[in-house]
Amino acid sequence: MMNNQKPTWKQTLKGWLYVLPMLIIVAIFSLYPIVSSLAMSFYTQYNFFTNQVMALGFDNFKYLWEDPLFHSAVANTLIFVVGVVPLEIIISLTVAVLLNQIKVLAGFFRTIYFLPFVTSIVAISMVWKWIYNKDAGLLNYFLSFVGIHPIDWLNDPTWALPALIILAIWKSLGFNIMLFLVALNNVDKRLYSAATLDGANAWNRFLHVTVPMISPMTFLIAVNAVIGSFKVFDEIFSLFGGQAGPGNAAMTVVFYLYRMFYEQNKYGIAAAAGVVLFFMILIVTLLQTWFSKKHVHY
Amino acid sequence: MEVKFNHVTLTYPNGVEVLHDMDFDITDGQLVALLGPSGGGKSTTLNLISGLLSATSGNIYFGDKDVTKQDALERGVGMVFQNYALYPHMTVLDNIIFPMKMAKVDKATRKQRALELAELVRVADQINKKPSDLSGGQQQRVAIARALAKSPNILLLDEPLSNLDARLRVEMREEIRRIQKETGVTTVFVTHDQSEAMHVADKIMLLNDGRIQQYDAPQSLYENPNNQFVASFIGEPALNMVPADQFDEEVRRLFDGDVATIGIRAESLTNEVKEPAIKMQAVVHEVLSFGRDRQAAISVGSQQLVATEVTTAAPLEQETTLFAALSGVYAFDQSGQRLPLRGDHA
Repeated sequence: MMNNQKPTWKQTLKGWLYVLPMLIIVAIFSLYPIVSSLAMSFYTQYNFFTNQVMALGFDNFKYLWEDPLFHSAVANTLIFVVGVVPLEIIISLTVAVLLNQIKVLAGFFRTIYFLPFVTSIVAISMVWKWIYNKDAGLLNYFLSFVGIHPIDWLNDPTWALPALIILAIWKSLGFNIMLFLVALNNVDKRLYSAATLDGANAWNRFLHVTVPMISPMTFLIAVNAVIGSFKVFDEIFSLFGGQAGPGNAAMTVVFYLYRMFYEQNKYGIAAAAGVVLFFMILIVTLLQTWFSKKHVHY
Repeated sequence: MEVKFNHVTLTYPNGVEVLHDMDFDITDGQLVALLGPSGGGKSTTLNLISGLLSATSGNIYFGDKDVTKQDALERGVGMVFQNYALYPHMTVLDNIIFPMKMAKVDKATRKQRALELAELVRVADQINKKPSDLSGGQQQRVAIARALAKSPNILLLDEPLSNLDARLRVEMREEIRRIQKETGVTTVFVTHDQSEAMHVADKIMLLNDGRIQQYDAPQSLYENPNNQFVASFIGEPALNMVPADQFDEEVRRLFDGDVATIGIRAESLTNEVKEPAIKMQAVVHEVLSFGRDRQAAISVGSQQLVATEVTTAAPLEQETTLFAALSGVYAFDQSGQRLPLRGDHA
């Protein structure tokens, strides 16, 4: 087939036939739900079971605008994202760099760090419930060495969100360390020799060679972490036993959505919360992409 | 700066000695080529000079200073890597600036100096591009400028021309010589290409099996090889090697010692006598012309030889008398050592 000719209708049709099977699946399971949940956010009077729409309008968004619980859900979600993402990246990069230095037992440590990723969040949460226990917990035991009084991590509204953040960071490390290790291994070793000869010490080599060279991976991890953090739900559900923390202290947008949909059957409001979440993620991701244009080197 | 190796050896951790008794001087301001086949020890020698490897025994001096125990940074060497190892995320100018930035040279000075260097290596019009937007030759120039940025005591180039195509290679080898002469920095470069070394270097160190075979001016290496290895490595086409028993006792007696092999330069074999020469009976099979070059396939006994100065007038496929000019005839003993002409003790 010639590439420099304008495709004929027949050729175009043939091309579409090739992508059709995947297109049908995507349309049914992705596009249709997205469009219908967007539509549902405007259903103010709606029978979910008969799929009857009685009235349309902006009432759902107005409700969210006025609901203090949704406000705190948005605030908690933002705190969660800001608390998790930077630490997640810094800690996993640090561990990856250290792991990359050692030759012995590197595989062993990689496995250890990777375990949380392959373990069910429910099982992890059980373990962390014990770690966070006020009287018998491991965390309070260690904190007592530095003179910190026992904290009731899971029942004190002040500490519920930090407890959630710690768990989320810990859980995400394994996979991110893996990705960073791949990126670190792909950096041309000769650049380090050149930088050493150019007088760069270990820190300068990290700053001027490693960081820019792995920036595409850092960008990928950051976008992934932001999206994942905005959607946080299972950690909360399993850590606080199906609740959004003490006094809704760990209420996030997705948890709010879940509660509206499954517990209160306010489908329109749940859909509207989903739309708000979508735009929050969209804006942040666009910001990241804009930032990456300047600072990511491919 | 003058570089001096004093009986340096290098043994790898597994106990294999890879460099044996390296003892040489590189004169200040000279351009020296480390030449030899792969695995001969030339890159290892370069790394010993740079300080990226440290000597097992012996001492290395830069000028009067013993630098044996110093690392690459302390020795102040500038190095151009085979693949250039330019920082891909920095512009050309930032690449050249980087060593000065690390040395905390102030901003205005380092930019000024980087621009001067860009001028010197002729990439001044490319300074805002990324390395990936440059051609191989331009990347090479930038790498040289970066290596020169910290005013190194000595400039080292590891196979500087091997990543370039044939035409660029010729251009860049002249450039390396020009830049070296303009800056006057003592320069050592590694190559496996003899013509590169012959064209550019002030002196060539020919290495094989971790030993210096000969360290001499390019022309001396060619005209006056120490041993069979040097004689056969230098010269294109390669030296013709003929077992001594193909020659009369009379020829063998020309040399002082027990002649095992006789080497004849392709360009010394002629069918016309001009200078003192040895005579031999040979058969010319064909004479090919390539532009200004000629190449003749000849056999002496069962031995196949190549000659470049046999004219097309030579009769083909019949026994002919050929002459090998004595200046291009070398005799070697069993161990490959060169044997002098009898009565010639230079």
